[in-house]
Amino acid sequence: MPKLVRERWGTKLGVILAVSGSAVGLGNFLRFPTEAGKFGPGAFMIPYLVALIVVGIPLVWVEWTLGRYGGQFGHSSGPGIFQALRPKGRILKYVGVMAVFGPLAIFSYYCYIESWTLGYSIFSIIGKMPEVASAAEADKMTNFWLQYLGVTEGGSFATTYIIFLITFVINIVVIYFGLRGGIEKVCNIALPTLFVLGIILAVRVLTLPPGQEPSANAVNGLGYLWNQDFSKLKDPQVWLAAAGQVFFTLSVGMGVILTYSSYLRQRDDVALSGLTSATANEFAEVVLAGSIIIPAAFIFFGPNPAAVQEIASSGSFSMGFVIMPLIFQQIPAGAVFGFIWFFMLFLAGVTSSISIVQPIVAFLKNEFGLSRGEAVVLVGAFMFILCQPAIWFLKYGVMDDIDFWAANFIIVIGALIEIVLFGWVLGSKKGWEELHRAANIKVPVIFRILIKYITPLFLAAILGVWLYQNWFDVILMNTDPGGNPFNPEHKPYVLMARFFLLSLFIILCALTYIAWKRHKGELDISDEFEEQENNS
Amino acid sequence: MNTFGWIFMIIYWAGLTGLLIFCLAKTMTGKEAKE
Repeated sequence: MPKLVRERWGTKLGVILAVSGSAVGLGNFLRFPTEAGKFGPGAFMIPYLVALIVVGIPLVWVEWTLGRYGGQFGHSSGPGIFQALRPKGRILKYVGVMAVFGPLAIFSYYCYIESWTLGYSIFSIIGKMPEVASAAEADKMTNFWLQYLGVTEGGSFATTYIIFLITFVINIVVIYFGLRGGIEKVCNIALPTLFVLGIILAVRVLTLPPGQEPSANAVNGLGYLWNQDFSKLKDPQVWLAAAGQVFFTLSVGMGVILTYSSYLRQRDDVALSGLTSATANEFAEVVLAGSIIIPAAFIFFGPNPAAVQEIASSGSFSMGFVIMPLIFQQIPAGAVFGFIWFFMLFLAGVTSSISIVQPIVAFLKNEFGLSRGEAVVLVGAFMFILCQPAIWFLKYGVMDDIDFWAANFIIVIGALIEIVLFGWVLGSKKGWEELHRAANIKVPVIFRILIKYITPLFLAAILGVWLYQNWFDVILMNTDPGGNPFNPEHKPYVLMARFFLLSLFIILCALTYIAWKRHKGELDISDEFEEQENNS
Repeated sequence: MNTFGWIFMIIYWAGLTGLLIFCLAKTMTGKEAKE
């Protein structure tokens, strides 16, 4: 095989923006308000803060450190990075397949959701959204959304599909231009733009006049989040939901940070970079997202916490694609703010979706010696096929089922495996030294104890409780992932989706086997770097 | 919003904002940035 020419990040800030871009996604602006709202006022923020410190930040450091560690051996995806921890073993490379499989499966529906935000941003600015005079006519907005998705008749699904194609092509083109020329450049522009748009929206919502009653104001909307009801701390479901949200928002456990940090040099810091990207993500989530949907809902649906709780319980997509457009129609220049909202979501989606394509591109490039162009064309064609079931069988619960396996099941297990590998296979002492190699900050020693003992136990407990309380029923098709009774009509489609995911996993395991048969785990790494060659 | 809510929110927001500014400043002036 020819020598492997490595890609590298252009700047330190570039990698931080790219990782932050990966983390700041639709989950920040849609999932966070939903989770924070559905347990009622004052329930969520203290468990969320505790989970951030105990689970989130340690996992971020673990993933950054493991990625850079594996990168020195020329690996940039889960199989190689995990195998590098115990080169003579046989198992870890197959365990690492999860860090390629998870992102692939997530992309198969995430790109479609991302395309909705692009479609809605266009509809908002050209005035194609239905006119809704009051909250009582919310059904019009719901019907418009269902028609857009092709779930009910009456809309133009061709438009929906064309917008998906545009979104898909944007993703593949960005990846084609590589780490520096594509991902880093896009994130350098998209992430600051996203923050500016988020600040504009938050300021707009927080300066809105009160609704029908004087107490239906933005400050009391913020109070829904920040006033604390300490009696709710006794509810384990709130703690689980908070840990889940922290976990999903930081993009840990899915293999993206592993891939991104593998392109760092050994003399690059990971401790400060990890903390910076996590903080940027938290700022977007808590300060920006926390100041948009819930305060807006409080103003427009009255100062009744039960109403806000009910809206939050209706789900992330309902909040984002039905409630928010409805609210924007009630304020001056609503079309512009509607556009800003959906375009901000689109930018958040793009910076996340390009990050979930990179692990498979890196896998083919590094483990099979393909050129970037070859890997991207192959992945693009494969991904396109992969996206189709979630689009065409949406109404049969296929997307929800893939989401359950990829964005819930796999990444919780993935995170647990990563933290065990760091604390117990690489070893807590060596791992700690790796984390501090070239570090620009010193991580408090308490995190060493957390990483070795507390976080794995916490994750194992979350996994156990979720399996027992919810997941067995989903796996056995007693309920859907939303907790509703399973619709028997969906069974063949859900089974097809599961067969499809299982086949994907087996194919990736087979590719891993073939790759290691060829290179025996030892890559011939060139001293030169691809991006430097291209740009010099 | 009650007094606890205000205090909690201000501390959380200020903490996050301060930490973000500190991290970005340190990244821009860190040893690799100077190289």
